[in-house]
Amino acid sequence: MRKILREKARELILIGVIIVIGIIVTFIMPAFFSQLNIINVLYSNAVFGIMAMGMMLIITTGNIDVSVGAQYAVSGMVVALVARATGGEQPLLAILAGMGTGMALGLMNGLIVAKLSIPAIVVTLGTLNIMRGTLNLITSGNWIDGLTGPFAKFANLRLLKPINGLGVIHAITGGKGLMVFALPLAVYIWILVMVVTYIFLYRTGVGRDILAVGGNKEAARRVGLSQTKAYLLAFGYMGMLAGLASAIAASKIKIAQPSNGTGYEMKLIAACVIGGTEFSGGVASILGTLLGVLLLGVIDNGLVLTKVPAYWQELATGVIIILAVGSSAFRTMKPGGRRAIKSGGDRK
Amino acid sequence: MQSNAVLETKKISKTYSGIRVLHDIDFSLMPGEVHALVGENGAGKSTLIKIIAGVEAPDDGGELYFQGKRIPHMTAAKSIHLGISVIYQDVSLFPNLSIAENICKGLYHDAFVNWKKINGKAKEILDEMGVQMDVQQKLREISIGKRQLVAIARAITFESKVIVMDEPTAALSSSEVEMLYNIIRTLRGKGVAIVYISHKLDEIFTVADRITVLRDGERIETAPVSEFDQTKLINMMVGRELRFVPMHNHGDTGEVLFEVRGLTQEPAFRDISFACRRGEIVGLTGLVGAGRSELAQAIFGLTHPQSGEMLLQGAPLKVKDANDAIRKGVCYLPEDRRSQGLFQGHSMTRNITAVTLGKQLKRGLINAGLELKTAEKYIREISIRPNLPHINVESLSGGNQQKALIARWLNADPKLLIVDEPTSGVDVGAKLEIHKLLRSLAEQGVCVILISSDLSEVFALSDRILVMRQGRIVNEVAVGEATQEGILQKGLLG
Repeated sequence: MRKILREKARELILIGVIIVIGIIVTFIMPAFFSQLNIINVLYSNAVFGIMAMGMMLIITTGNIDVSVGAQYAVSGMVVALVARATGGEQPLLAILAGMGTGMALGLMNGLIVAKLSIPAIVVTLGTLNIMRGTLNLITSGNWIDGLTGPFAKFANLRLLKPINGLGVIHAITGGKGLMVFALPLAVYIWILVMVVTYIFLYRTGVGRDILAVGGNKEAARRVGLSQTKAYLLAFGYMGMLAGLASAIAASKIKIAQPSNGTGYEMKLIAACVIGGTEFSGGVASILGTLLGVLLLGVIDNGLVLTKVPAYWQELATGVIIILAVGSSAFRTMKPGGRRAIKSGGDRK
Repeated sequence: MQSNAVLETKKISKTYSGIRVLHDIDFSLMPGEVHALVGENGAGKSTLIKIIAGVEAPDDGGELYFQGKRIPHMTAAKSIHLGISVIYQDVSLFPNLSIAENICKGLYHDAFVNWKKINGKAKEILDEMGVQMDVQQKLREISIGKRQLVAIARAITFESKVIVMDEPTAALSSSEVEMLYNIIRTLRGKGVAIVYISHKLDEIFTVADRITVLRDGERIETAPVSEFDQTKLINMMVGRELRFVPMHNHGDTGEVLFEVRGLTQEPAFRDISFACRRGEIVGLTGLVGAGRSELAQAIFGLTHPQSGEMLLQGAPLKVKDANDAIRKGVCYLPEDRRSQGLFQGHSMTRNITAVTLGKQLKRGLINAGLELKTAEKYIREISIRPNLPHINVESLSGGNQQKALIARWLNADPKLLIVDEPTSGVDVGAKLEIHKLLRSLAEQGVCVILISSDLSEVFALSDRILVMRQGRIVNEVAVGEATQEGILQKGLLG
């Protein structure tokens, strides 16, 4: 029990913070704590939540990807093109086209980072501008709309019905029924992505190798693990998820714009950092990242419900990042106040 | 002998950016032998190991044989596959993974991880070694010594035919060292060949069957251990009879310049008291982790001790931070010049004037001419070579980089200069020059504290030696004719 407390301290704190914010907002605006609103929070954050899994993997390898927003925009346009060409009748085809496009872009990033040994932030800053520039050139900034048919419905599709058998539930929920499982398909896709990421990272050989490369590059080299493979997997996975997320977004808002996803990279990095992913690599937390996304989502939603101007959200996000990162930095500080300079003699 | 060697190198050379660090090395390793590889820093031991492990490629022309078969392009993956395990000095493991995973990384190639198998295997190997550990604990949570044992367990797990141990005892406690010896004997009995690198000669005489001596990238000698004694081995390593010229204070030492009373900073060190007189060099020695560097950093104001006091020239010395220390005449030459000392990519001049920019001002702005003048003065006085003030400091040799850093402190007019491993990674000639420089500083009235793990250096240069162990000063020795290194060695190990 104590071990869980120590190892999952960050996650527990995040859960606590989310609950506290939830209680405060509910006091001001009771509608916050309704199943419709909670589902709304999940639904509107699925896109981020899915992409955050990819960003987490990249940060785990000791890299970063600031071009995710652009990957999301490019693949979103491809999704919309396919969806419109098929009249929205082939949602799966459109989704796969988006995932393929995103994966190709991600693999390109990974290949450049691994082969040319250029820092990922520089590479992806470059590819970010290349992707956006190319996209704007081709589309002249025009969006694709008129998405209809099954494609325009899949994100919000409810496969399961609310539980409404008992009179009690009927009464409590005001006739709507208990909707724990009656979630939009987008939310189920998000859950599936987290499960897949978990299995990948903790149960597969290549997933463990990614963690190893992130933990100690030199040691990985010395035991013959391929850094290139790890980078390609992480960046490719990120791209694929950006494509998937862009398809969900296109289905939700029924339109795709070249300017989609601007600034997403910062929000994703923020969610990962709040969730405890370490920039030095090797440490990831799927639950933490999920909570990071939810925390930002709850703040966003709470501020809207309580009619606080949206600008406050940016400010709140900033404060939370500093608090989250600051608290872990504080914990690793050595006794004696200041951090002692690392002594070269104590070889770690 | 040649035919049944498990590993053999022929005419292996290695050149890094034009500098040849290994030259035509022939080296052979028999099954079931412990083969010690000895030599000074920079002799080429680590490079040879990296070539054997496939981490570095040798120059063209060299040949590498494993069990009689030529391996034209050795890679890290291939060497592991063949059964070569290297336990690096910096313990090349994954801090973020569990002990079990570290031991078994690369052993199984299942698509899906079988944790039961991994944990079971790790436990089995550790039990075999007689080591008790929770295999599911993260590696970063255990001590460096234990990590070393994990690295050894890893080599055993891979059923290695060759195990290379690079300074395996550096972080081990004495009971762990005994454990290591037992493990080595067991492995030897099973026919495993072990390459043992250590600078502790008594260890080598304890475990080795054969010794190969490297010096400046050349193989000097390979012979059974019975053909060596300590003196012969040292002479072969350093290439001459005497290692350092003793430079002691022959006149009288003056009044107490600097004093420390009961300085304590848990957990690094406690109850440290000593004094340093004018004209004196005080040696501070001890094993890695004894708290020497931490003490130096505390005196220099990088950390703040919990209790105790310091006196400089009789007046209480309170240091807020490094800036304050420098203003008050306390200077510290750090242990790792690359990461803690040099401003890499900048000129020698800028490196020299970095902490004394206040002296390089003209009308309130930094004046390049003044800076250059300062640099030139020190280049001349302590003969930093080459005489090019604008040269990128990275392209200087280790010894000259160190001199540039000393020049930086000289310009700050130190009253107390603490030098931390001032000659590590510096060639022999430059070591001597740095020693002369420190001695002349002491003669000019600077109080010098020399931190060094190199006992011969401490002996050659210090007038008094303080031995630290586990955060305490356990021994104080005045250096005289009768003092034996052995006595001090005992003090080190406790």
